[in-house]
Amino acid sequence: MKIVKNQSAKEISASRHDKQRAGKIRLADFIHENSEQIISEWAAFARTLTPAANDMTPLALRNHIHELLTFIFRDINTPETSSEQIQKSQGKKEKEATPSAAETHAALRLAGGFNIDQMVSEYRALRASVVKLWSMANTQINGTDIIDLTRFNESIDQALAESVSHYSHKVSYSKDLVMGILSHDLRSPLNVITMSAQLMVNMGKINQRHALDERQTMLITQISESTSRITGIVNDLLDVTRARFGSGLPILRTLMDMGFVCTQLVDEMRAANPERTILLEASGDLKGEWDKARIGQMLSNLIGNAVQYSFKDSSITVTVRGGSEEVMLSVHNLGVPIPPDKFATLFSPLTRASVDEGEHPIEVNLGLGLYITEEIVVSHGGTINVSSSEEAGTIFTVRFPRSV
Amino acid sequence: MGITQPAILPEEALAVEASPSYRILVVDDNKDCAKVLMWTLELLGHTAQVAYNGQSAIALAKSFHPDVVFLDIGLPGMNGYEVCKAMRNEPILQNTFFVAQTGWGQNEHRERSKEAGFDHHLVKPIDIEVLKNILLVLDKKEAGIGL
Repeated sequence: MKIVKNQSAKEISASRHDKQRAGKIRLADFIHENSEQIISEWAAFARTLTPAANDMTPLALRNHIHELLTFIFRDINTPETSSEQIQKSQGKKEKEATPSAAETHAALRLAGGFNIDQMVSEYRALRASVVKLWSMANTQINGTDIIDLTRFNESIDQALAESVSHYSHKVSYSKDLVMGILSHDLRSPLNVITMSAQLMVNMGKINQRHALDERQTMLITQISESTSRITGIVNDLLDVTRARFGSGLPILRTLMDMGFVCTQLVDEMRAANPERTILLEASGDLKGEWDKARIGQMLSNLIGNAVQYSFKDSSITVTVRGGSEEVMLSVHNLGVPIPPDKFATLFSPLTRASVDEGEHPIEVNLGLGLYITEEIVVSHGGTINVSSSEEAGTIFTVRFPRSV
Repeated sequence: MGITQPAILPEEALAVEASPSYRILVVDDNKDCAKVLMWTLELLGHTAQVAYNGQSAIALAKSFHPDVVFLDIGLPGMNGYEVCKAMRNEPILQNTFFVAQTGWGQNEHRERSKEAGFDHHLVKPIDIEVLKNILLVLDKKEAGIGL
């Protein structure tokens, strides 16, 4: 791109466009010829974005703005069909290279400590500055200018959309990465606490001289229980991270009996919630190839959920039925129905239905359970559905195909 | 196999009646993990030593001559599988029993442990009852009862 330095926009347009009437310049040409001045104005604005811009060199601030301008210049200079224009005005146009100038810009801004608002304001500044400089040079406005301006705005919007999308993607990736590393590193010390607590209990059993008194036993039991709760959450976080990194949850299929796993889990949940009635109805052929540990985890989440969100005096019913094509498993409870506005995000991580504090003073854990449950089902090629109403209660239904 | 006095908590050792005392090497780069497992083993009446990486574990194994080695898989440098293979090649360790310990219980890890020559695969945190059982199994194996 040819860069003309140290000339005002008016001088440039006058010198380069002798053939045109004075005061007439198309927007694309204007951007092309005045990129240096546009970049300077933009850089001056970016420097005002504190504190992120404090430690940025002028060169870093100018990085990729040049490429962005080239993209915009090429974009508005390319003939466009009317269907393309409609698509782009609706934000549907495919982006060109990977990564595009706008994406690179977003990555650099993120790395430079700019927040997303600051990045967006940069685009606003660019738009305003180009239009201002151009309108100074282009004093005679006609119909083509409106078209040029529209296409310029669409170009900026496309670059902005790409930058924002790339920025958010990068942020969510780093969040997942941090979560993964954190939970991975948390496991080791948790294991040490678990083993130490166990060791302390056993010291007393092995030698009377080290027997713990009642209060000490209570305390060490509490340490064990709380640690086991944290371990569960950390394991869930790790699962979420693994599921979100694209590869999905690892599933290892072995021949197993769904009925047996259901019996096991229902027994476990009965033991953990002795005041509750949990019924199990199993029928049909329940043998198949699934990941036993994951199926157990799924059941534990679904039954745990039912216990948490149901009326205390109501019973919970687990039904598992083997058909020729699929095995169907459902968990039913009576309780306050899931609010309609919660349905859409029910299986998203970190959401959970609100719990009536008076009715259910129990602690509720992070809303990772249903997300992991859905991931487990999907990884098995199955489906999960939920229906909820005041009269019928809430029922989660999972279907596993016999062959995938 | 001779009865050896544990380094710490000697009085507890006496309390573990009739169970044989083994020489056990614990290898884990997480020092806290290694220490707690060593204390647990000592409490159960065994003599335990620790190493924090593969190289020093192999060197220590040659002089310590362990009956059992608890090997962490995720060691820096030489990983647990490699350390196990190397130890398996030592003539002095021909009768040693190898137990893998990992934070992960997936079956592929178990398969790899078996291939590397491990006799057992444990998932952390190691339950003290499971630990007792494994040492009991080893006891039967030595008595010729079989696994």
